[in-house]
This record gives sequence, C-alpha cells and structure tokens, in this order.
Amino acid sequence: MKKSLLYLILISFHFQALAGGGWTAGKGQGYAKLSQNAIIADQFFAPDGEIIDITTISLYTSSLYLEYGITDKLELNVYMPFFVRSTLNNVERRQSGRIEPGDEVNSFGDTDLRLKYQIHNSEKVVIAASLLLGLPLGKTAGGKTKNGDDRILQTGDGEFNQLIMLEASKSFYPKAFYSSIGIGFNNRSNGFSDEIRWLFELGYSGFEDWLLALKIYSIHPLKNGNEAEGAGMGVFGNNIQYISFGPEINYFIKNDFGISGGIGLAIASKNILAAPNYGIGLFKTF
Amino acid sequence: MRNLLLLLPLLLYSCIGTDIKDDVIVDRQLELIGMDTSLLVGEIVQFNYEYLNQYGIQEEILPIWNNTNQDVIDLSQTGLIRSNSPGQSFIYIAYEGLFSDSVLITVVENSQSIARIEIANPGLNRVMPGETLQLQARAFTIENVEIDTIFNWTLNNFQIASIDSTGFFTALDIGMVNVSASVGPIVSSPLQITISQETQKTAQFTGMNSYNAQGTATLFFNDDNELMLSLGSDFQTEFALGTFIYLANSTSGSEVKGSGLELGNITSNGMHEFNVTALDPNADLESYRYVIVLCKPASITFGAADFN
Repeated sequence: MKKSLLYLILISFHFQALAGGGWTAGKGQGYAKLSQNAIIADQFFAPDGEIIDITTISLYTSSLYLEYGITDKLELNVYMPFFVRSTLNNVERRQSGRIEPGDEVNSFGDTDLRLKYQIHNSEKVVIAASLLLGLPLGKTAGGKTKNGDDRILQTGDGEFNQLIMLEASKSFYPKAFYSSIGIGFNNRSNGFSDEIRWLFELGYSGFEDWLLALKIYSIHPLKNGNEAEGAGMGVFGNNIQYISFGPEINYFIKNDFGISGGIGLAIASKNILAAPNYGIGLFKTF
Repeated sequence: MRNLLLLLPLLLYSCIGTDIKDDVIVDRQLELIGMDTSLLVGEIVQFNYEYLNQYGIQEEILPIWNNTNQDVIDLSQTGLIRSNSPGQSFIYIAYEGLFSDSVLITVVENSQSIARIEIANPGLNRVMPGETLQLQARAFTIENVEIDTIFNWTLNNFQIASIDSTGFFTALDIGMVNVSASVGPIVSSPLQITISQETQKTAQFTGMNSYNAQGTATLFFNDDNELMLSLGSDFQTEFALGTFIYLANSTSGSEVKGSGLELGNITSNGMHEFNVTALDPNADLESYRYVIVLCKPASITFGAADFN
C-alpha cells in the first residue's frame, strides 16, 4: 500500500510538474524549463485553409517557463520568450542568379503571466481555474524594407491577451496514464478577434524515467475583431485558427532534472504558417 | 549535462536562409545600342546589341543584321557599318522571330549638309480624336549646327490623322500614326502618336487566396503627362506587415515580387496615389494588366484589379 501510494505521489508530481492541467505545484514547489522552439515555413494556411507557397519565414524562440506554488492551491506561471528571432529567406532566382534580399529581426517576445487556482481536488479529478495575461513585449514591426523602413517582420502580435481557462485532470492510477482537458476564453485588444481555446492531453509514465504525452491544442477565433487593424503575418496575425497536435517526450536524467522534445503539427488551420513547431528543452523540478 | 546546456545557446541563432526559385518568364528583348547616327561618306562605325532572354538575362546571340538601303551603307553581320554614298538607311536586327527597333543612319557628303532632323517631343504622345498638336522640327549638320529651313510634314496613315505644312496635327480616328518631317531626301525618324478614346483605365479589386480586397483602381495621365495610379476612397484590403501595391502582368505572388513594378507600401484603406512614370518612365496604359495588393514578405497576393 505504501509503495502504491508513493507511486501515485510520484506520478502526481510528474503531472503537477509537466502536465499542468488541473494540478498545481504545491506551496514552495515548482518546475522550470528552458526551451528552444523553431518553426521554418515555406507554406502558409490562407484564411480559407488552403495551403499556399510563400517565401520561407522562420521563427526561433528561446524561452523560460516557470511554475511556482504560492500556496498548495495557488500557482504562478511565467512564460518568458527572452530571445525571439524571425527571419525571411533570401530568394535566389535559379536561371539568373539574382538575389532578392531577405530580412531578420531579433527581440524579446510576448510574455505570459498566469495565476492558477485549484478549485476542486478529489481522487477522481482535479480542477483548476486560471487567468493569463499576455503582455505584448515583442516587436510588431521589425526588419528592414529596401527603403530602410522598419516593418515587415514581427516577434509579437502587439495586443494584450486576457485568457481565462478551466482545466480538469485525472490520473488513471494504478495504470500509468493521465489526461487533462481544458477550455478557455481569450479576450484580445487592439482590434484582434477574441478566441475560444481548448486542449486535451494524454500522458503515459509506464517506462522508467520517461514521460510521454500526446497534446492537442486548438484556437478558434470569434471573428469579432477589426479586419483592417491588428493584422499580422506568420503566427502573429489576427483570426488565427488551428488544431495543433503532437507528441512530447520527457526523459528524467535525474529525479529532478530532464530533457524534453516535442513536435507540434497543425490541422484545420487558417491564417498561420504551415509548418511543424519543433521544440527541445531542459527542465528541473524543485 | 553541461554539454547539453551549452547546446541550447547554439540554437538561438540561425542565418537567413535562401529559397531557390525559377526566374519569372518575361518578354524577350532585343535592342540596338545606339541612337540615330549621321556619317560622312567613307566612315566606319560599329553597332552593338543587347538581348535579354525569357528570364531577363543578358545573353550572347548571333542576330541577323538588316539594312534597308545597301546603296547608302554596307552592314556586316557583326554590326560594322561602312558609309558608301549620301542618303538614309534604317538598320535593325532580328533573332528567332524577334525584331529590334530601327536606327536611322544618315550619310552626308560634307559637313554643311543637313544630317539630322528632329521632331521636338510634343510632351503628349496620346491624344483623343479631335485633339490637335502643334509639332516642331529642327535640322542640324553633322557638326550639330542648326539650319533654318522649311520642313515637309507627312503621315504614314492619313485615314486617322492629318497634318498641314506648318506641322499642325489633327487626330481624326483611333489608331497609331507615324509623323515624319523632311527636307529634300533627308527624313526624320518617325514620331509615333497614339489616338485613343481611352485616357484612363479603371478596374475593380477582387480578393485572392481567400483574402479580401475591393474598391477602384484608376490608371490615368495627369496634366504633366505622367502616368498615375489612383486607389479610390472605396479601396479596402486586408493587411499584413509589408503590404505593398504593385503593377504587374501576373497575379502570382512570386512573379509579382520578381518582375512587377513596386509602387509603395500601404498601411491604410482609402485613397492612395502613386506616380508610375517616376518609377517606369516608359509605362503607359497598356504596360501592366493588374494592380496587385501583395504581402511582400511572404509573396502572397491579397487582391488584384484587372484592367482587361
């Protein structure tokens, strides 16, 4: 019984640390992750969902993510993309060798602050509600046009997100599975459409030192923004819509330290780059 | 573990990559390099050419050199001209069905003879039926000394225009007409005048690639005979960073970016005006079929207005 309980605690801790969802970290405990993500896209989901060819746009994001338990039930999350680099490829014409110059911009990115409060905790399910504030600290216009004006690349969307979210998680102990679901409403400023967001996550920790997860995340805009304002390109545009799914693999090198990698693929997407989001990271629990 | 930590910063940086794409297919161009030329009998001059292939790339070819009056000049197939006797001849080159414009070669006996006649640019090469132009001509010796003389004026088509002995031109019907001024056997290069009811073109924007674009685009000549593009107060489009207006002969984003005429960046709906002549001095109402709203960074066409 003791062994089983310990196992449950360990699994739960992993869930708290890695899965988020309805779990909170617990007072004084937490999780930190240093990540590098890359999207390299030579195609784009048009507003009707059709995939069209584009000049390759890349987005590289170096970020720090932190979960910290203020109390057993109240948790602070910080997502800070401390270095975001966006590039537009040169175009070299095959026959003439002519070069159409590309572009680049580097900056701090849009940062999220979130407070999560666990409102229900039972053996069957844990439920948490959260408020996320998305601070527009990235650049909404960077790089150089041939006229020398700053404008054509961006590392942020320039609007202030206010996302309220409800998440529920369940452990299937003694089986090594867990799952989380969540739904939220994102109120956006500067003429951007508000959004409905939902997520689903299924995790498995049956292999020693490994935690595997399948994550699905969706954003659905309500199209109530200003069509002529707040528009962007890449992953920062208005009325972005997608269902993203993909695996994430976490390997515990030590009990409190590990490495993770994942891929986010998108389906049913509109107005966003059509390319996988690759991510690797180092995480530590405390 | 330390090595893993060192790996992350290496991923922070990535150079700007390069996309390899085919060149845009354009109309081939064949041009004689050089203007109308006057020579004394016995002189030798070398003419050259420039050929741009379907990708707009300069290419060495073996064109056929043509001469309309072999009594006046000898023309080799390398472009070398030797003047034989007083008179005039046009030369031009041809290559695979493509012909260059002609260059007028005038050969004179001495430096006092009229060697060149120029028709002053009236400033307006496009008129409507019923409109008139007062044309002026000047004659020069081979040493560029102007000669005061009386000119004979003629047209290649009297069905659509008339001209009197003073160079007073009257447009009668639509079409294109060449005007020439002459003194004895020496004739000017023709001045081409277009007679058209159309002094402007209007088209409506439609969205492309599921983006929205609407409103009116108008190409017109202003009072200074400059070709202008105007977007009306009803013009609306979606925007991305780097939304530009182009004139082009294709709606493909890559081709527009590669071979279209970039007029400028826009950040708002409503009226805009662009001076086309300032960017392409040879542009006229027929030069470009489309006005394009282009997301330049990604080469996505948001909308197009088709003048055809």
